[in-house]
Amino acid sequence: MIKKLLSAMAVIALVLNVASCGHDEPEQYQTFGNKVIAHQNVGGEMMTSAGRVSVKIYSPTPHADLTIPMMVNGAWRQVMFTDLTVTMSNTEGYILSSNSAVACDESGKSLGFNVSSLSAKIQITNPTSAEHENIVISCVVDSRLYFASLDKITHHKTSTVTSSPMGSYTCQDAIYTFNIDADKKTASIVINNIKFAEKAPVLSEITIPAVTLTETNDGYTVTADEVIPTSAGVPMENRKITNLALNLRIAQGTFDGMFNCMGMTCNCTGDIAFRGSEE
Amino acid sequence: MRDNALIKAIFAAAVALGGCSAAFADNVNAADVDTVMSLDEISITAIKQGSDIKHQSVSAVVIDRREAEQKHLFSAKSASEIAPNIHIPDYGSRITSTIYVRGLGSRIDQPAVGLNVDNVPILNKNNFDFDLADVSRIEMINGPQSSLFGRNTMGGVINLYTLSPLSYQGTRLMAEYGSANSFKVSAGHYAKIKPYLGVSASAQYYSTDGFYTNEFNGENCDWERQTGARLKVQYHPGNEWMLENVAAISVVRQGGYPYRYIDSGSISYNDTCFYRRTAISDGLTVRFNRGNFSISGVTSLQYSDDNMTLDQDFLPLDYFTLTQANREFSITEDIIARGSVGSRYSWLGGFFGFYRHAHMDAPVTFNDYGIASLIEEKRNNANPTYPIVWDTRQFLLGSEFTMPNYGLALYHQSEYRLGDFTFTLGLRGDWEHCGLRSHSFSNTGYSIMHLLPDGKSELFRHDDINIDDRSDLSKSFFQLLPKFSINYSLTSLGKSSVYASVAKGYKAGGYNTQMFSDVLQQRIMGMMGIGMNYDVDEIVGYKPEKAWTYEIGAHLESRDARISSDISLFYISCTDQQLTVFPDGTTTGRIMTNAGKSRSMGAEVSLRAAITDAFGVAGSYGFTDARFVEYNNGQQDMKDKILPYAPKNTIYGEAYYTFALRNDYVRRISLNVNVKAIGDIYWDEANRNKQDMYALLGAQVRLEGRHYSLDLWGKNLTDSDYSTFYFVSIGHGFLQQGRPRQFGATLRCYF
Repeated sequence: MIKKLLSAMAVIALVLNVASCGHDEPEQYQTFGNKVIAHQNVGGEMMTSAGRVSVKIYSPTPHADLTIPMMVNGAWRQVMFTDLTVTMSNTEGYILSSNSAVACDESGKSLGFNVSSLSAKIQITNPTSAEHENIVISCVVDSRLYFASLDKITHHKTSTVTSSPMGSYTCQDAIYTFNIDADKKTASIVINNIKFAEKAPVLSEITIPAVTLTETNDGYTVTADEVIPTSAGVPMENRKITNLALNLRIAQGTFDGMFNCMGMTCNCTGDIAFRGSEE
Repeated sequence: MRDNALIKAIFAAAVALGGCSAAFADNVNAADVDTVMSLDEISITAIKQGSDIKHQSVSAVVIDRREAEQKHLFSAKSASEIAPNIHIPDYGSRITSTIYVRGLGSRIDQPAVGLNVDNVPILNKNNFDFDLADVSRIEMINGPQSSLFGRNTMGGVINLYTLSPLSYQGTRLMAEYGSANSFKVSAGHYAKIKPYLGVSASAQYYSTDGFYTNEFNGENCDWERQTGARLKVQYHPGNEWMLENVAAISVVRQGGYPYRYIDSGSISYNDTCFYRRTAISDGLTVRFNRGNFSISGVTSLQYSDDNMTLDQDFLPLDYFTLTQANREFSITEDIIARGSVGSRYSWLGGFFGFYRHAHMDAPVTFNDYGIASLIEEKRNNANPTYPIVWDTRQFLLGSEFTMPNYGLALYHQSEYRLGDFTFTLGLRGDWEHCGLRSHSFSNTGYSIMHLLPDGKSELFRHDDINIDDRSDLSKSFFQLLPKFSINYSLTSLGKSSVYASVAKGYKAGGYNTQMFSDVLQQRIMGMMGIGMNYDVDEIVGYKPEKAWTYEIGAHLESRDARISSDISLFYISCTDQQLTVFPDGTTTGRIMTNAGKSRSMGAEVSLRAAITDAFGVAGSYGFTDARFVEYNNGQQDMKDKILPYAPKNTIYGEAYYTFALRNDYVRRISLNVNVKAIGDIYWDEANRNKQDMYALLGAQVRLEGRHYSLDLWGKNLTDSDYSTFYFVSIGHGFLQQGRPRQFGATLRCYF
């Protein structure tokens, strides 16, 4: 996956034709996400809507414009932020950031407010189709947190510590993907390449079907008293999961929590960052 | 005089330990007293390293024709029995030949030692094990030869030569019969058609019923039939031009694989095992000399077609069988120029290129017991409420591979003589590209049942497995291979010298097709929710393995050449070792990786002494302490563990006595007693299993007349019980037992 990301970045650089012309030019307008779920705390009430995210990356001095769905004056609209700092990380992907950014409409006209601590992590796997792995955005508006993500968030850098009477085992290769249905207030979780004990086989895929999704100030909680997971579409009654409670922190791109399975307690944490060497 | 006496005194202790034999050199007539050999034929070693290999800055064992005949050395494998620190075990079949030198070796793909036959480099390790009729000379050179010979000579080089019709004329016949109904016949005719044109033709046939029985069907399992032929043409029209062309064919058919299951103690498997191979080669060597300059070209074409079919579980159970059918074509070209300036400086430069194209079919057939225990049971343990039932009790995992492989190299070596010192500096740049186009396929399926609370079951779903995966992988490597040595001639001690050298060697990278069965298995299990899906390139690909060797040694020889000794001490540091590991967190599904570092250090000593014209002794001893410096296989840290399969000690000793009768029928009777000892050998990286050192006693009585020789011989006279190989398959341990006591007779006639 890291190789894909790195090669994608290289291709994007070519596609976007980063060339020195003596002045900055927007290279290519990329819409990276068409189904981004945005959450904005307006007056203490969490507002949610779906929208799109677009990015322009400039050269030769790398900087970017970011357009995200935000609620302005009671209505959702596309809001643009310009002159954002761009960095690339082989574990985080593109990171667009600004300590303080002016909110503009898509023509560049100021909307009369700023946001602070703006951060957008965009992980792209296929530049041709703009297929993306994750999009996670956060900022502070009116001292309140705004965050947005795709309805599917994949965590690559995870740790699952399984405790049982026979001892403890840590699996660090599992991938957790949360599929969020904001309308139905449910989420399903797909766990790939999980192992619960030293001598246990690796389970290539376990799916926890739709469980309760509750909004929080920085993301969601995913809970279930009891649920039967499936693997390859087949119910695994012998692996019934109980006391599922996971905290999905969208703004940070992390999650943590626990569940019980087959008499074992599993404490898990995760990050959307790819597992690999830092730059 | 005093120096000669000193050498004799030093060797007296060695004589007491029992042995050396005079290095009788070759001559036209085998019955005549031997003299020092002179090379008329052109050899790759002479071209690259000079004719006097024994006195170069290398540790080498050179076996001439007479010694090869006396000791029945007709292959690299048999010759390794008398060379220190070289181990070519006899296990499996002729495809599984593995050479270990100073702890370095490989059971996987790329060999650590190069093999040349009449100047033709054998590129595929699977073709290393064969017999030759009429061996003329065998050279076994320890230590990296990569600066001159390039890829896969990290541990050394073995050169085999057959008789030259320009230096030997006549007809040679051989018939041999021995234990296990083993018989061998060979015939060769060597003619000098013109003073400058020689032609020889030889052929041989070997058959054995084998020593071991497959108890499942009562049949011998390690039978073999082997035949081969060789045509050599040498054209030497004058002092300037030399041409030699050698065409050869060999055909092998064998049962092989006498693997004994440890738990039951018996060899018993129900599915067919065999190995067959046809190999054809042609090598053309052309050399031009003028004054201090020479240029040589060695061109070879090689083709091989082999098939290994195995009952992979080696049990009377239907787990699975596999076939590995490989067709391969290769072409090599080596151009070497040599020259000298004055009396002090000489140089060598060369270009080498090769292209190798292989196509392999490697189907694996899962049978009833394998489906039940390896697939259904594993899957159903993970989800017993929804068990699966496979559609059929046999299905195929198909794999096809196309492997193009080519490389180029440039090399240079300079040699400068300053008084008794000779300084040698060499460098080779070696570039290689290897590709793998794979096609894996399978069409099968299974039903998922649902066990109901009342005990009945109903069909939950049926899943088809339709795999049709293709991949196209490639890698390129570039290596710089330097070498430096200093040689000091002890001119006061005759042809003696001491030397020190440092050199880098490497084993090529590539792809291990045997791992594809792991890939496919994981793929199928992954489709059922168990097992990880891996990146094929990560699992089967591996990078070059490199090693630096530091060596000091001495070649000592008395003025009358009756006593000689070679001594060497070495240290090898190996990095990026090519190994198989379990990925993090798994207990099944291996991957290839360059995960290891190891070091090897040791010594080699060989002695030969013709005490009198009639009595002589010879011997060699090799010691190797080879260990992992860094290696974690995903389950266990192997640091400081001893490298498996390479013996710690290799010992050879012999004593002979010759009675000169000189009557009309029997001119000489020679008695020879020899002993070979090998061990300890560890069978796994964790050093849990090993073969203790064992010794094999041999003896021979030889009668020689003017036109014949008759050998009556015995091997392993004490019927020592030892194992040559150990491995684990599907959690079951297997051993291959060494050959028991054998007797035989060999009759040779010369006209």
